[in-house]
Amino acid sequence: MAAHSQAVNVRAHCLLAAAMATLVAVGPVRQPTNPPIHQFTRIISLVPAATEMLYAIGAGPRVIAVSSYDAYPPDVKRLPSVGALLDPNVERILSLKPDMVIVYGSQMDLKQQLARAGIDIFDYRHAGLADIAATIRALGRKTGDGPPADSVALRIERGLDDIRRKVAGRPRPQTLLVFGRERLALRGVYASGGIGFLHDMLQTAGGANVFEDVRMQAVQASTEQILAKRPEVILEARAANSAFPTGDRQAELDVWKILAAVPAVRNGRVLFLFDDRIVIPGPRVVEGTLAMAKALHPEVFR
Amino acid sequence: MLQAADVWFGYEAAVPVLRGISLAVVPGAIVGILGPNGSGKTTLLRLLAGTRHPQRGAITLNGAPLGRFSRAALARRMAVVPQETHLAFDYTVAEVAMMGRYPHLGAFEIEGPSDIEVVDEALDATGTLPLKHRPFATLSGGEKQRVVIAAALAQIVRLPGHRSLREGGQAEETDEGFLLLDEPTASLDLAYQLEIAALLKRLRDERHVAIVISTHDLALAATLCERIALIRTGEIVAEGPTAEALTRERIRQVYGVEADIFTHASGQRIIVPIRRAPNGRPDA
Amino acid sequence: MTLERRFARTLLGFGALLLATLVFAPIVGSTPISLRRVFDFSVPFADNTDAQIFFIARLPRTLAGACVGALFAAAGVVFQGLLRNPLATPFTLGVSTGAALGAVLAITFNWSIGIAGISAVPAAAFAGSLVAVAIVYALAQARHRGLSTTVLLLAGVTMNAFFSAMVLFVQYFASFADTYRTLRWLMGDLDVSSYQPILAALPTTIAAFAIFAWLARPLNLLSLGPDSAESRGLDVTRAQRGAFLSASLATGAAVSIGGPIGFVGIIIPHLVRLLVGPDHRLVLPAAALFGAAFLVGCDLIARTILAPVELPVGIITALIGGPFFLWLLIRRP
Repeated sequence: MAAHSQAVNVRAHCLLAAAMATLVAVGPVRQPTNPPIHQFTRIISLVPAATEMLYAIGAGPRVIAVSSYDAYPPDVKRLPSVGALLDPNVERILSLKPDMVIVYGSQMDLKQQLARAGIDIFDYRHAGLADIAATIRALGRKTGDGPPADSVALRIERGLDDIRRKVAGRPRPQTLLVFGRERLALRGVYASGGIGFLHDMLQTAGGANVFEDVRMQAVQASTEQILAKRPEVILEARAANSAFPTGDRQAELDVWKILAAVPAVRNGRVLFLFDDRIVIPGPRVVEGTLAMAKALHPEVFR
Repeated sequence: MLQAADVWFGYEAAVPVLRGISLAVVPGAIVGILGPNGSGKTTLLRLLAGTRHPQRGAITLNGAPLGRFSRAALARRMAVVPQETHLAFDYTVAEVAMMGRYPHLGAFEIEGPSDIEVVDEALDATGTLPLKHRPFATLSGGEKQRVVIAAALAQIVRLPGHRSLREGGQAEETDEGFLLLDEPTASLDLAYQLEIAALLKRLRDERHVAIVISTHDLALAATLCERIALIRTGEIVAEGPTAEALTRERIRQVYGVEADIFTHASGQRIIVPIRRAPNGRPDA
Repeated sequence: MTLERRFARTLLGFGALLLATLVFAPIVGSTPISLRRVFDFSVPFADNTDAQIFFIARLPRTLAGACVGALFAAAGVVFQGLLRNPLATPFTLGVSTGAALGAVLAITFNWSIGIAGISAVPAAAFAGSLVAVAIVYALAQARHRGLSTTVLLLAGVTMNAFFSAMVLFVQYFASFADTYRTLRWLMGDLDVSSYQPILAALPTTIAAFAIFAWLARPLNLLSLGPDSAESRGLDVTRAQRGAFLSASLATGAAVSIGGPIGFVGIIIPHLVRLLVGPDHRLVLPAAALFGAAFLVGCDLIARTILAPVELPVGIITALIGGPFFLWLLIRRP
């Protein structure tokens, strides 16, 4: 009896919290009568996905520095770099006198230091596909680019829905989505598990993740597991600068011949997707998902 | 006969530790090498055993330089008993003693019944056969030393028809082997000192092995050794039958000590150090 | 009992254990397979998942585990004999850290060049181990008269520290993903998926074991101390060199196949000595056989205990090794 009422209490609390979170997320509705006030004019972004978002919502000109891994849009290459997830250069950041810094949720020390310096932060958290639009909206609200952010987010949502519609009803191939392994060897194979935006992307693109049941973002796939799962398609996704050199492409494909019994290998459906739009959960995610969908369902997307 | 002829040796070529050493050990002799610490006794023992080679002069076994023998052949003629034996692993007495037979075994040969017999017999001769299956590390100091002596004995026993007779040449046949002991009683209790001395004498009497002892224990040398060589700073100061070579003048010269020598009723020669010599140092 | 009979009994006993392990391990795993179906040749191989798992995934993995386990265990015995210290391991003298540096460089900089059919990371690991061996050996030789084990130990420990620092240095510049992959490699991985890595390490393995066979009696003698060993007819310098080089090569080969898997090289020698005594003529072959069985067993646990997630095998050996040493310390000798 006590347990039941306790459960009810918990549920009530959760609903309340969810309601409050939604309110916070949506925020008070403003009626813009003047041109938007840009809250921040000196923005540093340590997250490549967030940098792309800033440019997409029109805040690009106000970005003064980026991470060492940023490469898009091409303009960012001119900007100074201040490190990345593991090695943010606090001195450099402070010396550039930003008024807002986009940091990773796990960069505790950096957040403390910026708070002490009175610099505003945007806490970026890596999550699922759906959260990309939500992050864009939140970012837009923070930087004062609400309307453009909303329209970008909407475009993304519509674009993804469009893809979903096109692949609906088509058989979903069992897919192994590999995002890392040793060069020229089938060792240390890392594949997408059942959570995370890569998994969501795969679902949206009309594929079925062989590791759907594993509640982790990354799975080290052993030979036995790959054989047992019998994927019909193997997608190797990499960032553009991690692509296999052209001369090695065939050799890297041949590496899979050890598993010749796997349907994907037997039927020649091992595909390389060297595309930043797939591995960066940013505004170009629709184009990335489209690239994946084309690989999975070539007959639908000409 | 094991002979050193005008031997010079230094661990570093420029610094000789032994200079112009000449010494002869005939089969069945008990020879003592005496001298203070650092005089080169242990080094001389190593040279006699053939584990180091002189820079000048030669050490010969029945006329043939030691260098001409393989290590294993030499080991079959001469065994060294170090002052202390520390094992890295927990071997039994039998295993330690059996290691003495290794020089007689081929590369992948395993010891046979005859080897086991030799080892048993050697352990018996040193009174350690009952300890055969005990871990070596659990033995007392005296027991350990006796086991190591047994191993050395086993090492120099040649079996007729054994492969050891097919190698090495004529040196194999004319003597019963050499036991070289480095400070055999230095770390032992009084009782064990007497025991070891008696054992060595008995071994020589029964088996006719030649024994070379390096020691700074004058009493032991005086009693046990028939011939002694006195060494000071790498040179032999006196050499010959004990009664002649071990005199008060020599003791003062080598050890810087005034001593008295006389013979006890039991027949043992006793040396009593009385005081340091006037200048307190060994004569220059 | 004579040595011959003890030798035969030891070989048979541990050999049987290894055989049982080799037969059992490929049958068991996170994916249930049926032995009957594995050997049902009427089904084409391409459709026989059970057979594929058995022959492509598990059998090479089992054999790799056996090979690596035997190499680490035997190398451990030899290093302990060489350094006259039962606490020495195959990793004491810096060989595996050198291999780790090679592997970390290959992973971080995405090297793709392999040698003779071996892919980049194992090749770099082996090369790294050779570099470590060469440096340590050169340092130890610098003094007069052969190999001093004290200098060897000092040189090895120093190079260990140096290479470890280099590994951290390289990792600092690596991306998050590369650091993660390096860390996983350092925990050990026997999922070779083909016989290639084992075959590639075969020449080194055979050479090492050949030298081990010859080293058995010399190691007994060395445990008495170099002078005593010498007076028993052993060429101590040659034996020490042989021990160092063969054990280092064995370690390098093992690390190149499966990464630096710890504890095998120290648990197995201890256990084997407890069971058969310290005579190296028994300990070396027994350790090789038992080490092989042990590592295959650990890998079996690693890949089944948290299925479908596979743990790195180094974690299992560590989890067994720690308590084992605690027990060694506590028990009455």
